[in-house]
Amino acid sequence: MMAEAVRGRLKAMLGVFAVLIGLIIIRLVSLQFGSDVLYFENQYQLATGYLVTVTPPRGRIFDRSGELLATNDVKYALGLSPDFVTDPEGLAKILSSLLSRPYEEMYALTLKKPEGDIKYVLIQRPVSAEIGEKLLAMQRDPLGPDLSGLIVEPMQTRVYPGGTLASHVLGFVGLDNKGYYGIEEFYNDILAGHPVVGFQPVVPFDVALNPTPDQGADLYLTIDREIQYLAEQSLAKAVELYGAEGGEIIIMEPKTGRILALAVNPAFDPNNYLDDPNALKPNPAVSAQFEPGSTFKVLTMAAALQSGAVTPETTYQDVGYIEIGGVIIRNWDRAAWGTQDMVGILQHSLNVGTAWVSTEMGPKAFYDYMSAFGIGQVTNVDLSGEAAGHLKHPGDSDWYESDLGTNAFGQGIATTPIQLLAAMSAVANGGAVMQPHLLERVVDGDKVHTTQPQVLGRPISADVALTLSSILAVSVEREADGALLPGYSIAGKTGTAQIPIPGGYDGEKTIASFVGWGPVDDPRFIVLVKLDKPSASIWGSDTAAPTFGEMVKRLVVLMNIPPDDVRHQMAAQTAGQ
Amino acid sequence: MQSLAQLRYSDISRAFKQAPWRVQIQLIASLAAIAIVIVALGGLYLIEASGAATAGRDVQSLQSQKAELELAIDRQRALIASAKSVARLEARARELGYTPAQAGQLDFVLVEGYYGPQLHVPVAAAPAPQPELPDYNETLGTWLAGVLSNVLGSGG
Repeated sequence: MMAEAVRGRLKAMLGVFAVLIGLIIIRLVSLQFGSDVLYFENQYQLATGYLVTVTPPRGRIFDRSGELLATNDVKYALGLSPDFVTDPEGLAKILSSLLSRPYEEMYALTLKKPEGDIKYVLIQRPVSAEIGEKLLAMQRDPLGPDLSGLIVEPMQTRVYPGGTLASHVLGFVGLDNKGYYGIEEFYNDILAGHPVVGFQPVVPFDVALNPTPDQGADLYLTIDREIQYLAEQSLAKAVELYGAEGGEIIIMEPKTGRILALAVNPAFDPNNYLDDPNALKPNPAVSAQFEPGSTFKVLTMAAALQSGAVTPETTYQDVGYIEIGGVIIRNWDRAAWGTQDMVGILQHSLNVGTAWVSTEMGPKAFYDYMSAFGIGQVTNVDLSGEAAGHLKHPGDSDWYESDLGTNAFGQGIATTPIQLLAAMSAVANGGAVMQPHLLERVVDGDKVHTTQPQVLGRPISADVALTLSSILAVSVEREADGALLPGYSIAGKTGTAQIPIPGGYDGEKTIASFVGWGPVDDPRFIVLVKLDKPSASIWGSDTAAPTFGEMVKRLVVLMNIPPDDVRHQMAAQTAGQ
Repeated sequence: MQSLAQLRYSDISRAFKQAPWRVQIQLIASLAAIAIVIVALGGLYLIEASGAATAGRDVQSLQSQKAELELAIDRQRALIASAKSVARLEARARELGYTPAQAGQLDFVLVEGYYGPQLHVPVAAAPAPQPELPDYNETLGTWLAGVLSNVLGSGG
């Protein structure tokens, strides 16, 4: 009896164990192949490693000679895991002294309880490399202070070695590693590369190499940093000398559209964009729309010569005013200049004569040519924030017959500095408008992509361009001798534009400008100088033209352009070889 | 009595085989052999595992070093670029008594027979372009009239 009872109990126990083992096996199978697989894999990964985001270094930016304009540096982000802070007083003291922030504030941070699942409290970002490395050294030192809970993380930052140099060309990079304004924004996708996320096990057996992200490409610009520096210095000097509120200088190769310098005043320091209010303003060289004034007469005259409405010898009788569409247009000095030819119109910058020329052309031809010059259209220069300007056309609700006369001398239309320069470069460049651009080449590892000059249009013929250049070379000698450079032939035109205000024009302030190029027979540079509201003189001939003249004294040296006589001898020698 | 000689060989052999000490020795030897194999395999595994762990740690350390060196290179590059900035170079040049050369201060010497890379030859003017006026300046009516006149002309 006894043995049977024992045997029965044993069977029951075996049965229980068998059921338990069966349940365990079922659970094991479900863990291995069931719906919880993903959860357990995640749990395993959390326990044995971490996700790492590898951000590639941002591509660098060079000038055309390979000098660095923008590169990367390291700074640090300081944070806390409050749960791990063991000496809040000591930590707060060290942070306060290194960051120059109040002890109480730092102490409060060390005691701050993070919200939700986030176990991180930001202290400061960015902090300098010196401070970051000092804290890291303290953490590594076994005899150093107790910095438990402090997290010191390196972070990539953008550095502009030239400081304010070419700041409006370059833009800046935010803490989100994204470019803002300028080249940094326009070519952000190329510069930034593509970050990748990978799993990095902490178990030594499973250690893998970090994933390799797509690197950002390096950009080489058409900017020449020495010419850029010259332009910025000249502009800053002019702004101060003539009491202007600001201004722009753009230097371009008329034959290729390469922009050698683009200076804006006031500039900003992209290294400290957070502290500089000018950093968040759009680049006025491509976005500020203004009435160009008398520089525009060059385009009107070019159109008139090309259309055959006038020749350089055509004359008209200047009585001091002309009525177009019921509006009386007068000369800048309100004087009557008598019989004048086309050279005289440009030489004396006569509004009446230019308006008369536009009537000879008629509105259709005039506006067709202005469109062909690119007025009222973006140039597609590779900078962010470009504006299109504004050119009214016959038939538009806001166009009046009188606009033909006023538009002819640059009033009642809006251009941007880059647009005006591109349009006028056609006169310097045998009639072809070149695409203004800043990107010379992209270097992506072993791949190099070089930008080719592009013709945007040919609104006038080479003959007309040459004729007009010759006229402007003569007129600049008489109208704006401050722009001249001994030994070099220079052509150009001054502009003094009124500033539109609600209900009319500002009676005191102007925008003074000068667009000039040289050498006339082989133009290597075309320059736009624009000064906003100069107080020393309202006239472009007194302010912008001398600024141009002073600057090109150095420009021809930097560009290695010999005087005309030497250049002609060299050309003759080359022709005879 | 049966003499020893009379015992059959098989009986002796069975007795010998079944001797308790003989069975135990066999068991112990087998277990020992298995243990030795397991220890040998374990040893090999440990050697390999520790090697892999060391290599893994080395990789981690090298990756960390690489990251630090890249940061250091970036820093040095930024410092060099900053030291070479135009403003700094110009200030240094002025300290040394240099001034920027102006156009009139240069002497150009024409070297006969030398056509250096800086030579810039004036290029011929571009071919006379046609003004880029709008391509289409006819109305629907004039187009229709043109088409009709063509059709009528060819028909006649």
